Amino acid sequence: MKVASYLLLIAVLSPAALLAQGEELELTLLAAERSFAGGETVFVEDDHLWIDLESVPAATGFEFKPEGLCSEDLCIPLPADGTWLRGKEERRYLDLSAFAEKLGQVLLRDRELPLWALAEAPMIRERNLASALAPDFELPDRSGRARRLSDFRGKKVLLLTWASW
Amino acid sequence: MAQDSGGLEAAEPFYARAKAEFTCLIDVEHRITALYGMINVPSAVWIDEKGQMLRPPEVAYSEQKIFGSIVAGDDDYVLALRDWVAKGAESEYLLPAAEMARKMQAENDQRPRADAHFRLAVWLHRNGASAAAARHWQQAQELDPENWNYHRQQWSFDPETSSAKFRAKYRSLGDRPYYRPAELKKK
Repeated sequence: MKVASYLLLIAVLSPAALLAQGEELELTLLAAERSFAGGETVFVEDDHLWIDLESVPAATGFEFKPEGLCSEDLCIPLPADGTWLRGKEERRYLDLSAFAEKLGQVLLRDRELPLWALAEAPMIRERNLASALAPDFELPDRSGRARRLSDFRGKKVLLLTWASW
Repeated sequence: MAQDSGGLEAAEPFYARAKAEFTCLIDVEHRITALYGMINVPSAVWIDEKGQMLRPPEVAYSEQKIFGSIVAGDDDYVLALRDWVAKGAESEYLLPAAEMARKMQAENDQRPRADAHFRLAVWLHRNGASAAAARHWQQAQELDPENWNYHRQQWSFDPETSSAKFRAKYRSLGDRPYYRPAELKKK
């Protein structure tokens, strides 16, 4: 397949094309550094958003450990009754709505489209504030290359914002 | 770092004109606005070699500028910055962690919700769903009314009305400054 054909395929399948044509958007979660979409990754049941376990660290910054879901030394135990976890078609999922509620974290959904957004967890912000550690992030540079703030350890950084508007 | 939902297309001409040799990032969703509690541009944070913040987000013009009745920045900012570069931890302009935390404490506990609305708005806007985006722009602005980034970004998409909207909101500040002055007093 030629490059042009690949580009055409991407254009046809992109959310932009689908929304512009008024077609149905697949369920999409906007998390801190990337989005998650599609029934195998996320699904909604009884107004709760579930996410497959492999996507949890990238979506939340928390990893599964014996103590529960942990971000460095901050651990949230999972309920003993197993209500936050479930299997579906050979994959396992976390009740992200329940987890976010426990953390006091905003998980917002659009009232019409199947589009959700997860804000930063207050506990993480408070931890960063208490230590004055600069919150880490990953953003693209001019060439599209992903750059992390933590890549600049060992150098002084002036983090300066501006805008074209 | 461009806080710019227009993406590379909007930011690149400025980076090119500046012949920028420093790391140039594009922040379409204004993640840094939310993560660092910024409310306007230009803002800057000083971060040391270990990743510790040494000054909180504050207005960061290289010299004081006057835009009509708006006083922006401080001629001493670059002097302070040079002092830090030269002296490191011995610079007189660094703030202790507790002072940093106090200055960065959110004055508005609705900011995370405003951020979530803003990110939904950006995603919808960039994916052609303008009407749905408009709902979330408005929610973000209502929840975080003092955040100029959230207002000015959306206004920029309608150039015919953006100036009038800016003037109206600016007038609503009354005696409050458009940019809070950086407190560069030495420790």
